[in-house]
Amino acid sequence: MKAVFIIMMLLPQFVWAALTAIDDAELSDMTGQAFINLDRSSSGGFDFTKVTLGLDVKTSLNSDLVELGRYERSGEVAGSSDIRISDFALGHINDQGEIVPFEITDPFIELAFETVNGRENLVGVRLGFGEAKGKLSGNIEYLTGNIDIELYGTGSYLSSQMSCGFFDLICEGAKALVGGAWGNDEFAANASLVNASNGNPDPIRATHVGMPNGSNLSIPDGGGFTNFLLGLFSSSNCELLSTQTCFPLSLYRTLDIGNKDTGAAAEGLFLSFQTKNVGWVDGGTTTTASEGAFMNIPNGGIRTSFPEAFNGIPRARTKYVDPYFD
Amino acid sequence: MLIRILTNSVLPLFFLLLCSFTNADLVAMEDADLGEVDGEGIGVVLEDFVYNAGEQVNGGTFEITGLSGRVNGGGQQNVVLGISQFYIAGQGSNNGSNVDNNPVTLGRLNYPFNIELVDGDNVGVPDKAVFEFAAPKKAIDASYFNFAMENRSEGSGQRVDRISGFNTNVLSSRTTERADMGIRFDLEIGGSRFQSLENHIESLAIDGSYTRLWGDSGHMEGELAVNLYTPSIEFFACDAAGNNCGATVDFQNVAIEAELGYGEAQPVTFEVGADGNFIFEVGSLQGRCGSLNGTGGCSDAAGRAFFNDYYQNGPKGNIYIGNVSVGGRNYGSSTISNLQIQYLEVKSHDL
Repeated sequence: MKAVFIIMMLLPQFVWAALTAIDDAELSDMTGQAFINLDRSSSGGFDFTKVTLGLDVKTSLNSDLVELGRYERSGEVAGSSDIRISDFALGHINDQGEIVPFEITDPFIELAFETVNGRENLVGVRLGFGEAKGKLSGNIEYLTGNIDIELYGTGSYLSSQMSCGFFDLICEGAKALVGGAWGNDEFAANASLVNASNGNPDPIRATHVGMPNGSNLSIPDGGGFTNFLLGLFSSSNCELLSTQTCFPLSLYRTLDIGNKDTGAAAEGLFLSFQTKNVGWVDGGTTTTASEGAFMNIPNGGIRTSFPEAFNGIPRARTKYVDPYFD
Repeated sequence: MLIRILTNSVLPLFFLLLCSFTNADLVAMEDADLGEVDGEGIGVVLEDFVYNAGEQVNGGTFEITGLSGRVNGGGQQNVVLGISQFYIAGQGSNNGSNVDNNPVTLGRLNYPFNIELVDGDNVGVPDKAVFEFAAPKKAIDASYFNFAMENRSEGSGQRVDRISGFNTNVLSSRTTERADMGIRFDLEIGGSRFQSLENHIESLAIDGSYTRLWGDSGHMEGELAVNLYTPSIEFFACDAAGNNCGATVDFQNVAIEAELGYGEAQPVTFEVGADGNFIFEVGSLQGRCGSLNGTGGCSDAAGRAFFNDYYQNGPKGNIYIGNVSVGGRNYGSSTISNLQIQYLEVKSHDL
């Protein structure tokens, strides 16, 4: 009777407890998901350990300041930084008030080691993205890294930006050709980080982007002779046929990461920090990052029209009450 | 005899019925009722606490398996990540070599870790009871960062120009309550052991951190605040045997104050789908404007008031590293300031 009493006392408790155990057979069907990959490789005298996370990330974020590597560096402005972007944002808000997120696929962390006297010295770390797509906004004040921008636009627009000097017959001839016979053709050029005072490539704490000395315009769909003619003229000291070819980074308030025409994501976007030049490898491509903080946006990552290059790119809305709009 | 019958039969039946009636009287409390509950909570202090695990110490092994990886672009192989030391100890642990007789007190009676049911009305979750697990409170109930502000020349208002440092009292007070922590990973791919990676955090304070959880729409929601203050986070690598360690990368004077989620207005959720993959989400703020202007911004007063409050007082993240030192060379400070996440969705998938 006592046993029945105790059992009956406990019974209501069991009724309230609805949890049931999973038996071994059911449990054996459960498997963890392999969303982490660890790779080991060697290249250029370095050993690399890479941890890739199988993640799809969509985000919209704002930050007053992203500043990496604020230290005094020889030949650079006192108080400057390797990377400094104010009012940084990923993603944007469209005209319908919808959040259009910045998309990241398969982010990874990679460590670079150099073996010296039998010791593995950690010489670099990078945060990278298998693919990235969306709008990156901000006032870029200093940038150390590799940003290749593909410029494109018609000859008629390009000729409108050419300001030939008095009696500069070569320039006038070229202007007539660019705006006339080639007026409807699409021109292309590649721009990267440059020193605005001389047009030389300048990947350290750059403030300007443009066509570096010696680079040419081309017409991708043009014939060999056409491009031969264009090849005769190259950018020098931030000028090509009396056209300005270097522009302040601060003009470009919002950058489209990935190809905005085709919608293809950019591969090879990364942010790194290294204590010496390190060649980071992505597939068959090696990108050499300089000492300090470094940001890489790969070829084809940004495509900008000539009007945007000359006039800048306005900032996209990134907040619902936005200091740049409201 | 009558007494015996009463004792053996009637009384048990009486108690049995009583017991059943008691259960029958249980009724679920409405969220609104539960929201009024405000318990005093339980304070937790761990005195003389030491945790030290790993094969280095007692021959035990903690391994993470089921991972895959490649060597020099070859085929996928099994990866084993062995954790050969994980420790929590008092200050002066000397990168994990002085742990066993070096305890730390986590919390103290005046500033314990706290488990509490709080009134949701006070934390942005109206008419709900909110479970809170909180680390010891800060000495000052405000951000520890020193912000220098600047006017936006291209827009309106002000923004952070730089973080010049933080209140380092947090690194010099409560010294017996700040733990040294460290972990050592041994990487093995395809049966070959490659290297050991070590990470050591010195004298860590997590004052003001908390997790809040509540239920809504049949699932759990929450918000997080993670505060970390430490004079040093070190990373370095050693050979496969754990010897011949290389140069140290030392992040000095590190402070992180990060908040995720804004009560019911922007909850954080974590769910695991039927396929085993997880989804972590910080709720979207889309749809909170009553009306929009031509560029997608809020034009109604209530919507603007919500967003003005959100951008001013909502969850923010600040990360500051005073200096990065590598082999005696210094690479200065790094800052991410006033980071606000309007939307975040993270989904895992197989690689």
